[in-house]
Amino acid sequence: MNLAGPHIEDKLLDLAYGELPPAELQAVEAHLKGCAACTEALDSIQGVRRVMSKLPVETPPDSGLDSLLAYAEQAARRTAAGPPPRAGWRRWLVPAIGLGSVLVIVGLVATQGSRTTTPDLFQMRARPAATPAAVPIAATPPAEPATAPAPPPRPAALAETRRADSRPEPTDDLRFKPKEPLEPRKGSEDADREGIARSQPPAEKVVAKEPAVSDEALDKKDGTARAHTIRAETKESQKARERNGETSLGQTASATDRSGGAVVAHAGALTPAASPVSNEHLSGPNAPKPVEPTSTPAATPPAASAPRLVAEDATRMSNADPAEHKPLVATKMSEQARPAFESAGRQEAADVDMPVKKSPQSALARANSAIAEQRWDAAIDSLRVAVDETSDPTERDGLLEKLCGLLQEHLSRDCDQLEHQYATSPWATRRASARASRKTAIQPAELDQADRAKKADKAAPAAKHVEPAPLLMSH
Amino acid sequence: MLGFRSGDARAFESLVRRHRTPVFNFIIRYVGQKARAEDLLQETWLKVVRGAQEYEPHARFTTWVYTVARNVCVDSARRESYRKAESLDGPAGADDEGRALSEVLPDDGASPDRAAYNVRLRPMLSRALRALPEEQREVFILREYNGIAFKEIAVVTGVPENTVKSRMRYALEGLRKKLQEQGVDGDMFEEGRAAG
Repeated sequence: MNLAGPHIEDKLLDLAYGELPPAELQAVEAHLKGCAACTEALDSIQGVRRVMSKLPVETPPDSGLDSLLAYAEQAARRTAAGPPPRAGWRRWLVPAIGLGSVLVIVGLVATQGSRTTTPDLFQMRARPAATPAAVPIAATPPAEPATAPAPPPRPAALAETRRADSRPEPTDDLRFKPKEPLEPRKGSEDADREGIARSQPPAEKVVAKEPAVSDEALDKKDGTARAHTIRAETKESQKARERNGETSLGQTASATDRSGGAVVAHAGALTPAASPVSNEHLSGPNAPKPVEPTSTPAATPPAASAPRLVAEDATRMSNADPAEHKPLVATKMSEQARPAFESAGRQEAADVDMPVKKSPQSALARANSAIAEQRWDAAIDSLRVAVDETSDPTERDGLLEKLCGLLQEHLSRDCDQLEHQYATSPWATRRASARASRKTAIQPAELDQADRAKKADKAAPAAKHVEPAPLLMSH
Repeated sequence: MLGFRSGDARAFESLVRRHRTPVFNFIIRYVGQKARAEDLLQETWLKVVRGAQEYEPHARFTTWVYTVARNVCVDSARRESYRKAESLDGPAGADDEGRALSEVLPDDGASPDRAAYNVRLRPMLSRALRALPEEQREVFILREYNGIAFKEIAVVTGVPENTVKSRMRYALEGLRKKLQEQGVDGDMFEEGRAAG
């Protein structure tokens, strides 16, 4: 040990307080004999200690001693007796409370989860009932019987329904922007539309989107039964359009604009005795069954009165009590929204609230995207939407050409129905004339009678092909 | 302590009678006020009773009880830091009729000369001790007045032993300087040395 350096000061403290090990004691003492600094430091320590030791020792008072000992004796008795036995029910109290809390939390989480899964449509649907003051006062009695004759669906609305049904992309189909018509409109229809928009902005928003959701849902889940309904509607729509000659894009756009109220009326026809919305509709064995479209035939409108009906519906919608429509729409949603959101996910519900501009360009973009992903059905449907939405005859012609090519190439289907549906388009005219010329060229030499009959069947008038929907509904 | 933990109340009484005075002296030199020291002493022993079941015999009871007492003092000092601190020169309390703590400390029963000397010296010692930082003061008190080894002081204060020794050296140096400032050197030192 080196005691010659400054480290000896560390040992002086131990030496002064008697904590120095005996093995080091002699070495330190030897160092102190030859080191005046360390000796002086040790004297300083000892001098302070001597002076400070003059502080007297204090004696604590006995005042609290008895109480302290009594307290200690009581504690000792408790300790000797052991822990007090708890009552049986107390033993289970804490675990029971804990279990109950866990169950409550799980229930809340499950409820919250179901609400999250449930589309926002339900919340939006509840708005009119929750804030009735925000809705125009009903001109008609609020307790209008649900079994009342349903307003006839307008052909335009049915056309919109068909279009919505044909769209493979639910996120886009769910979006609807009634205030932005594809073509400017003037006159009373504008006034009607604006009346709807002013009087019922939330209801219009909700109602306009719900059928798209339900249709999409049924396309993916229980599409069979629903497909028949939609197909029937599509037939009616087709008939009405044919009777009205309503083939221009402007009229289609008008129908789109009016479809908010029209679809509500349609929903009312489908579910006349619906109950208010609740989550019970979404799950459980007691969930109401989807209402079959038994009342749909009554909804077939006289085509000639379609514009007037649209105006009437718009007026009725603007004056109607939202509670009158809410249950109807709600039930339609409860039976149809679930598969939609089960299959398409929650993003669709989030997208419902977002206004989307509906344009042939966007449909074309979707079609291109679907083609890139080789989703031919989706591509064809998007192309059909683009064809319907475009106002440029040349562009429509090109789109029809492309659509026909896709049908033939990837779905092995002919374009006869397409040609029939767009019979007035230049594309259909060219195709028909080309087919006629080809038939004229080969008929005498190469076709027998049976073939000619078969070809004649395919080229038969449109009355035999009243179902253009298969092209739309095939997927 | 193990006896008391097993339910023997007399074991606790034995502990109290053995350690009560040293613990009280530690507390009164730490806080500097007699009445407050009495309260803290009672609080310390109550904590010992309540914490008997948590006591583990891997350390000496002395170490444990001083740890409890120190924690009580530290908590009290924190509470008192929000109040106006009373110095040793200030009034010691209503019972002491305005006299300083160092003046009410009992004499050791020596001769009148020695008593007079002590009356002069004690306030100076108290002031010097009070002037030390808290961490140095507690180390000095525990080692000088309570005889706790540096190793155990490290346990009580929760710092390494070298830190304890370092604080002790600073405390001794601080006391020496403070006593020199008050003139407690030279003759008084010699007198004290002779008296000791």
